[in-house]
Amino acid sequence: MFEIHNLINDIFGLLQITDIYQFLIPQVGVGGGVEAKEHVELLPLIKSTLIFLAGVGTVFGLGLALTAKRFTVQIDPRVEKVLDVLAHAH
Amino acid sequence: MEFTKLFELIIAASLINNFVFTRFLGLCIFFGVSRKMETAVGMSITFTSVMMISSALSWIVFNYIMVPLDITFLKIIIFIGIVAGFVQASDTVMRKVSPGLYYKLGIYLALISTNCIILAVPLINAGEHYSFIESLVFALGSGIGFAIALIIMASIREKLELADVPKPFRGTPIAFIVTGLIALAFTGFSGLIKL
Repeated sequence: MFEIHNLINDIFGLLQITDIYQFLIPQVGVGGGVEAKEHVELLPLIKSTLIFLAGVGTVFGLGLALTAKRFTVQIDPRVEKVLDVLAHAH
Repeated sequence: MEFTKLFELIIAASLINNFVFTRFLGLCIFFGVSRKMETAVGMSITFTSVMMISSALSWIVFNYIMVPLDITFLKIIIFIGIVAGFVQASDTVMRKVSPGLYYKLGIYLALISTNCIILAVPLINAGEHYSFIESLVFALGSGIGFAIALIIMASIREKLELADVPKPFRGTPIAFIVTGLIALAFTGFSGLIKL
């Protein structure tokens, strides 16, 4: 029983299973996107990425919505009705 | 900031590394708009102004938010978002504030937001670590280069309408051939300035 346990340990040691996290979580850094860095903490990176993207999305969304509201152009609904009746060029 | 460096940057961006004839970017707008001189001029004015403002905006976002947070790998997505958002906002504002300008230049604005030169300029600014003034000047130079390309092409294509072109080559094919010839001529500028 003890020998089998040793064997399994040897196999795992051969495969270097302790470093499995390298394969499960990709190393950002060399070949990734962050330039000139050997190692990058992944969780803070994901956190700041998500916060930044959400912030940009919120700013652009609110900004565009407010501009659209502030600068609405009143279009006469009759124009569209007349255009619908007329023949289209395309 | 040395003035000669900025001047070299304009010359390099507009003539030596002309985006259309040397890097072959933004060809969809180039062929779509260069049929008439009037549209070519309108497009180049709109293009240069949008490019300068969007490169300034993306420089600020890149250097003050993305570099400190170490998320520079997001630059492509963010720059596309900035350009599209800015173009959409200016479209909305322009329609209300100056309808005359909108009906003259508004049709080009929607085209610009999907152009690759307008994305390439902030990406090159970020990659080369240009300062704020340098990136503005680079954007101006690229806009001038695009305007030169459009005006050259529009004047040639207006003459081509009258030329005796073989039937299979009429329209866009001869425009591609002419573009190749001009690009060959633009290789003469290479090596003018060593940056």
